[in-house]
Amino acid sequence: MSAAPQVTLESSDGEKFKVDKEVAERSVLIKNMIEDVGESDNPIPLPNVNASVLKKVLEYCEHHRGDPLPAADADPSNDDNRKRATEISDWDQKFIQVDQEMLFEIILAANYMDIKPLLDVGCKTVANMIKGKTPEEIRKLFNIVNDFTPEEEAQIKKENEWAEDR
Amino acid sequence: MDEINKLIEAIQIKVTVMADADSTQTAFTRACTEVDLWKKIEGAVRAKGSQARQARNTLLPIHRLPTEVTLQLFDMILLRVKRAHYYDVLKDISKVCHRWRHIIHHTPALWGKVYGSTPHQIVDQALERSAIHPLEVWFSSYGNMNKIDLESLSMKLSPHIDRCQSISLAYFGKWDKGLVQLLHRPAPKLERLLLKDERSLTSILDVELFGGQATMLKEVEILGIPCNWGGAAFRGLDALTLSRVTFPTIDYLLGILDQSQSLSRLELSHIPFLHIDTPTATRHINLLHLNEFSLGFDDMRNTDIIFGHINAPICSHLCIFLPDGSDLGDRAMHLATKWLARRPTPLPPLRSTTFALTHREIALSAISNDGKEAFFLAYSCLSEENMARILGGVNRVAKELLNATESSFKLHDQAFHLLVHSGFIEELHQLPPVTTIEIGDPSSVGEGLEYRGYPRRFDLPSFPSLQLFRTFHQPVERVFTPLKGIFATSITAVDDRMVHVEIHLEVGPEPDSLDSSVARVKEIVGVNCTVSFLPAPRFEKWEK
Repeated sequence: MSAAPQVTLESSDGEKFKVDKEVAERSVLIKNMIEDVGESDNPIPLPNVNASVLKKVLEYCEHHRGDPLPAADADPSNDDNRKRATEISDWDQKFIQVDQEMLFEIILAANYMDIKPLLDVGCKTVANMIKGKTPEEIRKLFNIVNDFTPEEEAQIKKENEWAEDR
Repeated sequence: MDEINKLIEAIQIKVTVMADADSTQTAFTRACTEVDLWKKIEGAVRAKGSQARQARNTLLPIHRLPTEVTLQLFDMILLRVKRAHYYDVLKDISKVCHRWRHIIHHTPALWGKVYGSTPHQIVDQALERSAIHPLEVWFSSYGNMNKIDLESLSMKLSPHIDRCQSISLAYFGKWDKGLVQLLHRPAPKLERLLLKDERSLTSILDVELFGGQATMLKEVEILGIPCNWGGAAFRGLDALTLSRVTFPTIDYLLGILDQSQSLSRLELSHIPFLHIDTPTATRHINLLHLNEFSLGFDDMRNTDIIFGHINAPICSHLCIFLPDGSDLGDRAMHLATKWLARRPTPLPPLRSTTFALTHREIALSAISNDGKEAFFLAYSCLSEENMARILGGVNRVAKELLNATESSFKLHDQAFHLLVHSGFIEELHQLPPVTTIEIGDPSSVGEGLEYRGYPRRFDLPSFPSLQLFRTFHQPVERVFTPLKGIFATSITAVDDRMVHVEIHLEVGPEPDSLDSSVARVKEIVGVNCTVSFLPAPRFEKWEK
């Protein structure tokens, strides 16, 4: 039996990862690159993803290698349904239990590499962190400082006046 | 001379006073200028401070996300927010930081929702900020009678009706002129329309809906509001729900259905006819794309006639309301026999059969060996006494028509109260041998809620596997009460067999309390059981 075809991916910091083509092609970006360039021994450069993040992304792709791929020409309502489904599988939940820095790096990588299911898992995780929190609590959670301009402050104050009147 | 001197003196005094006044004025003007300057400086400093803080925020991981990903994040937060709180949540997110506020204020898609409960100031903002984006209009007067100014809302919406994609008006009382005019204007982008008056107080809406110009309209739901059924709005639909509206004859209703042969969902319920007629036997309406077919007539004869005149694919979900009667079991069997007789070929070999019980509905479904759904039939009724009779009939369908040798059993929390009826329990124990029981949404029978009349003991058939579904945000403790009820009987003892308890939760136990939660389940069920906690699946799958 012949071995599964493999491709080499190169992270932004020069580390090379040899993975099964089927695993790499969970990324639509890589799938399209392979289709455009054809079979090649040259590593596929991923200048926006460093080695530690790429390793994590590939762990996700490996685990989900047999899952059906979202259709490229998916109906927007399916896209909506996909987002609407709030459940994150047990494995995905454990996978995404990382520090905030890594969580957002994974989301960025999923977006850049066009891995929709991973992007969904990341966004759902962040959305779950935000749900039910006040603006001040959200700021505290993500270390955001209040950076409103004086005009915005005045406008927010005005908006709150009628909100309190309700 | 004295006079002249006096005059000169007076003039000099005035000049001195004026000079003093000038000097005061000058000082005042100068002070004002300085204040303005300081204000400008202060404003500039604050603006610079804001810019500096914005620059600092850009370095944060969350702010490195591009706008489209940030928007996806907002979408996921907002998708499950109740309508009444949609703009509260949107506004709260916009109060976090400059960037999020900017994104929210400049994304029309986030503002395309106009709800009856939305304050008018927000409606104005939404209509402006949504620009040309399609609108979703949802208005309900239930519980909001004093808060809603329908006339004002109709006026605000009127210039925007051409970009409405979805209109949902649940209202009782007199429909004001503005609202009727709104429904009279062309709505070229309208895809979904719901008009509902549960109390049937609305007089005939005898206008040509949307002036006959709503070519995108595919889903229509009308409850309790007689309409101009000859209008273009009722042609070429994909989904139609009609309830509590009177039609002259059955033939007239069939004529309306004949105009929408691509229907994938058809629900007809509680429709009286002014004249009882029997359409000619040859008149058949071909609805060959139907997936969901629901008939809920108060007179079984009407159900039989319409059921007999609509050709629907045998793979569609058939849901039938059975009016009160002592022969409900026979009726259930009779309809299932007729339904199966429409198959051109016999049922394929079945892998599994499932009974699903909700408040007033019993559904029977079957999966064939190739994993496809081969059969789905649901019966509903008005009284709990009749549920035992229907279950008896469905039991016969499973055993005699589907030849089921085993079954799965799904019990929605709304059906827990049936477990106190001995006739129902008797039928339950007649099910084909049960392999799996799924108990849905035990959240509402959480500890302390027993007063709602739910049984302390769940007298279920013997089973080797149990799944508990959907408890949403309630703590995991809420699962233990129904679990205790289920395992309070000897028939569910686990001494001599393996029982797997699978608990589906939207919010699972905290990692540090997982072990104690598992221990608690084993304490109730038995030490030999296995326990899994899983994220909640979509419960709606078997709600129908």
